Amino acid sequence: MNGFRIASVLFLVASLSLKAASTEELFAQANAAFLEGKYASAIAEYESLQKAGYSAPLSFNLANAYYRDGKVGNAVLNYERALWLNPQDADTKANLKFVRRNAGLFEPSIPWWKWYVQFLSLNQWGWLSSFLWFCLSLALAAGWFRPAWRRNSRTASLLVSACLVLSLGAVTLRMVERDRGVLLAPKTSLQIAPFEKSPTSFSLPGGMIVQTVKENGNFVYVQTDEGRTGWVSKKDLEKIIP
Amino acid sequence: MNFKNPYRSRPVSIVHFLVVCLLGFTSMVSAAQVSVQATLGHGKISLGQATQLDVIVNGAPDTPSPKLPKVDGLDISYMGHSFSIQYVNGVMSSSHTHSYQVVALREGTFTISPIQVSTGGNSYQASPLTLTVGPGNSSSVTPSPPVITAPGVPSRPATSNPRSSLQRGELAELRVILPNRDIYVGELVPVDLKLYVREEVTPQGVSPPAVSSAFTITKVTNENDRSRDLINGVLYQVATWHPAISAVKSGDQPLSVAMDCTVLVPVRSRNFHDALFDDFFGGVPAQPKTIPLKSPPIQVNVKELPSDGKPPSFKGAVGHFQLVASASSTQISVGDPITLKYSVEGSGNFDRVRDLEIARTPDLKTYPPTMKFESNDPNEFEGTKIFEQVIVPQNSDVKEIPSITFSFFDPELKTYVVRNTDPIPIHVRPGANVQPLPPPPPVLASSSPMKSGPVELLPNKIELGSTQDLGVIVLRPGFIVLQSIPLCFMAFALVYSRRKNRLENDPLFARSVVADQAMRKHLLSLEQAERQLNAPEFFQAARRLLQEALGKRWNTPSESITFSEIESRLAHDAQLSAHLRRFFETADAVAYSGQAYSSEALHGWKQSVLDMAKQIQKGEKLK
Repeated sequence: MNGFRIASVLFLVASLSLKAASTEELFAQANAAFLEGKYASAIAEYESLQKAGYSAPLSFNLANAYYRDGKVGNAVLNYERALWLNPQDADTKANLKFVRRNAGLFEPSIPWWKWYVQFLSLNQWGWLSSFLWFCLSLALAAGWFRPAWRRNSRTASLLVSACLVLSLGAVTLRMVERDRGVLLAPKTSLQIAPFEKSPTSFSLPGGMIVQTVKENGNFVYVQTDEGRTGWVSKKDLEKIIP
Repeated sequence: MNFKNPYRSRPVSIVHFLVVCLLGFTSMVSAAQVSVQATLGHGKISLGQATQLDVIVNGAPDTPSPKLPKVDGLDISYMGHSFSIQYVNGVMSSSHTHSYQVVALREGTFTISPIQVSTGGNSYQASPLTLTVGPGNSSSVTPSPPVITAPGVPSRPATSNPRSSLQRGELAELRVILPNRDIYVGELVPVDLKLYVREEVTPQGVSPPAVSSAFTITKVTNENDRSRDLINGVLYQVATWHPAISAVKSGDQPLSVAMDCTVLVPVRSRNFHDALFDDFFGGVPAQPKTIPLKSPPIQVNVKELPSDGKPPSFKGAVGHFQLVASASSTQISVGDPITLKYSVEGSGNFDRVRDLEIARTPDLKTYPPTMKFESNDPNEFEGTKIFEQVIVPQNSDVKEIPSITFSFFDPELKTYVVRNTDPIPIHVRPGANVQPLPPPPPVLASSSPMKSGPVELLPNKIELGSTQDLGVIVLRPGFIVLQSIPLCFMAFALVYSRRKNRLENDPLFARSVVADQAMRKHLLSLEQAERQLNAPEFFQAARRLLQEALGKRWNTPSESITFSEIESRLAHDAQLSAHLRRFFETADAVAYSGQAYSSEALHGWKQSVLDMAKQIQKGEKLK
């Protein structure tokens, strides 16, 4: 019986290793296709890898390939996904800035009070909040268990509570960002109503980030950073967090 | 120029209201005879002044505003319409008056040809008018205006048309003054832009300047130098701006600047009484007027930048610049970032100072530089442009940061100047394993959206990293449940600490807790003795259990409780007292005799003991 269990575990480990090896191999193949200038092929391989899961380097390389293939909207989308997973990656920030500058897109403005939110991803803020919550419970419990520690416990609880409030604030602000989307088409019409033949109010360039508000049939109601609103076709928009 | 003089509007709404109210009444007015009359407020005015022209139509129910003929040297603009009704000796008559403002633009005698009015399908004509415009306030003749040179502009200024309109007494004029030298294509040249406005009119504002097609001009701010000049005996207000121009075409190019100037022109009242009221109530009323101005053209020789000696690094900067470089640190480990700072300081067209960065090499990973411009000069002619670039040495073989080359054309020296920074020696210590850089990205195809310029897209990553989904962890049920652990822990800690506090501070509670623990212990012994059919042990354990229950109730030590005490304290509860007496007598008998009991008998005693203990604790009577 014990022999059967060991064999099962070994089989599982071996199959996982093989899978990891094949994933790395596919990634290397996609990189090779990119370096040979076969961007469409590289995009296809990166996207097949993405079906198994996202990673910041994978989204970064996919964005590079899309940009080289002339698809600015998809490039911005994948750079944003890479930043969602790893907000501190300088390479991604630099390439996104470069792509925006070349496509004539403005950097989304970030208010001063929101600067710290960008340090971590939503999930990292979530885990940090959870950790602080544990710390707060420990700090409070320490004061309850040992009256001699009550003063230090109160100070520690206040500090941890302040950090927890900031962290939960960041979680809340990051949650709002889940509804952001990127316009994929080179030129997207902002329509007044969610109908095919509705008049157009504005045209927006591909790669622009908009906030999605609601959906109606095949249309999504969006708002730009400048406050312009309108309906865009679902096929012209993809949410950063699908 | 910024001028805050408010322009008073007339209460025309009241007049309009009255006109509307009387409109129906006018239909009753006789239209037997229509006559048209044109009058001027003043037949003779000075240059720069204005007068009012009225066209009065009598006897017509309504008339559109007549179109006045254009007169060279006069500026005529429509001011408004008024209506009046007269009732004299039982005869009613009406008149419409259309008012115009006439501004004299030059001296002379002007004839305003007969003004035609159409009403009721007929055409009527007023008699012609004559207006004489005399010279300005001063009759003395002074030499041509003094030459004013802009600060910092050397040598003779190229300006001052000798037949300037100022000498002819215009209301306003614009002049541009620039250095007397050849200028080069792309060179930014500071100039003086002077606006002369006659003293008696009030300038309100100016439009942004427009320059002739071969040049561009920087923005004109609200800040300007203010002064007064006496030219040909006429006092002028002078506003001077200091923008900069840049030529975009070579050759002899005419330079002229145009802008619109809005002024308040005083309007003299028609009769003596009105003029008296004007003076009494603080001045002559004024009307706004926009004057299109254009400076006299100046021929400027614009030269092409020489092709001889043009360095490969030249990107169009013209002026005089210095280049300084520095590094944030020179003692680092492999993989550590260094921030390089390049400062280009001087004067010239800073918009062409760009692309100053270290090229990527296999040994140096570079990031696109950031750029900022610091200047107190509104024209951005003088200042410092700072480039900051992050580089990361990839191995310990890197010994220095390579030099940077910047070149520009110096218009004073009339030659190209190349500035190089010295290589900055650095010491790179071997560090942790650093992944080698992948090969540089391939050159972009022409269909790429990237515009011309260096390839700046950073290369691909070579490590896939751990994969995950883009889902939000904080919304997952497992994560939410996990957050309940600290909550439960805190609840437990709170209850525990409160119980501990009570045990320490409440002796009754502490005694109760100890008694409960002892009772539980004796109950276990009792049950064990019952299983073993050990009657002496059973009754001993039962006795201790009941003593603990009584001790807890009376808050006394259980060991010191005697039966006589029980009888005295439970005198009010004879039934319980009797049960206890029977139990204690049986327990004493068993202790002395060692009498054996059957399992059923012990079980019966157990139930009886438990009932008594319960009654003692709750004060219930046995059934």
